[in-house]
This record gives sequence, C-alpha cells and structure tokens, in this order.
Amino acid sequence: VNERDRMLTGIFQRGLGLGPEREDELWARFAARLQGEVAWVAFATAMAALIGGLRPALRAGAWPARLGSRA
Amino acid sequence: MRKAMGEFERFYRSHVRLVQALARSRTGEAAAAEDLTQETFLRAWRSFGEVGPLAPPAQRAWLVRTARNLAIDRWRRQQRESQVVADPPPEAWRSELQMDVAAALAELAEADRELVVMRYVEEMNSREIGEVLGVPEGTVRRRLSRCRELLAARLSQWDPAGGAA
Repeated sequence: VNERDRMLTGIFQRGLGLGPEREDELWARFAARLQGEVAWVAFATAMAALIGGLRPALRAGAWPARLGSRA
Repeated sequence: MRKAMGEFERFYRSHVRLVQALARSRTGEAAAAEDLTQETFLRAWRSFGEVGPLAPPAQRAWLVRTARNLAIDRWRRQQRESQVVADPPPEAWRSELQMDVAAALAELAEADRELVVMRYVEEMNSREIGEVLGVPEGTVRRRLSRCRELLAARLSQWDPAGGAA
C-alpha cells in the first residue's frame, strides 16, 4: 500500500501538481484581477456615496433652484 | 489594503494547489481549470471576512464546496448553450502523462476524484480528507483503497521505478 501510495503521489504530482513557477504565474494573474475588482468596488462605493449625497438635495429641490438662479 | 492582500496571498498559496488540481480533474482542460480556480478564489476574497478566520481544514472545505458548485454551474451553462465540448486544444495538455492521469480520473466517480486529488496531490491523510469532505475516516480509507487499486493498474507504466508494487 505504501509503495503504491508513493508511486501514485509521484505520478499525480507530475500530472496535476503545480510547480513553484506555475504557482507564481497563477498568483500574478489572480492579483491583477483582484486589483481590478478592488478598483471597481471603490468606484461603485464612491458613486453610491455621491448619489446618496445628491438625493436629499434633489428631493429638497435645492439643485433645480440653484440651477434656476444661475439661468 | 496591502495588509489584506498579503494575508490573502498567504491563504491563496496555501490552497491553490488543491483547488487547481480539483478544477483540473473536473474540467479536464488547463484554461478552464484556471478560470474555475480564479473564480473560486475571487469568491473567497469577497467572503474573506468569513473564510479567513476559519481553521485550514474548514477553509479547504469551503473552497472545495465553492469550486464544486462553480463547476456544476459551468457545466449547466454549457449544457444550456449546447456547446459541444470539443477535444481540448493542443496546448491544454502538455504531456501524455497529464492525459493519462485525466483519463484515469475520469473513470472514477466524481466524489472519488476529489478524494484522490486530496490524497495524491495534496498528500492529505484520511482523517484530514474526512474533515474536509464531511465523511468518516473509515469511509475515506475504504474508498481510497478501491481507487488505489484502479489507479495503480491504470497508471503503473508511469512509475519511474518500473511498475506497480
């Protein structure tokens, strides 16, 4: 059993395993994707805050009034 | 942010071999396996507040469940779109050994494939595998024993020592 386990471990690690270089490649690609995700979340959060801040002003009619006073 | 990335990189590197090998055993194709791996870790990143503090076996269990669900979703999508999965492109398999390992895995039941990957790629013992899959250690041993026979017969030609023991 131990011999077979050793044999299969060797075969599977060569057939399916990741070497350190491949692991680094995978991490680099994943980290780039993650940066995109983080940037997108930051953008969406900022937009939500902006819209959240504008909504009360719009509801109170402050914005159209200001626009009207400029016209 | 940098600290969170550092922590997540440690988490990623601890588990990527397992997730990638499971993905490979499910999709049978390198590019699809990488997509599945990335998607699994992206889910982990989004839930890192929940997954990060778990003990390593529970982290593995979470990743295995997520990868499994994503693979099923992917398969269903392919069925709906009636995309015939053609032979993998030439670059997908780098060697005959990889093809043989994939073919041998394809002969096993889905649940056994996970178990075999955990045992022979990650070198986890029966107790650890049982914890991750939520099955008793004895069941893992019995299933592993059956798989060992099949795989040894199927793959012994790749043994550098010259055959199964």
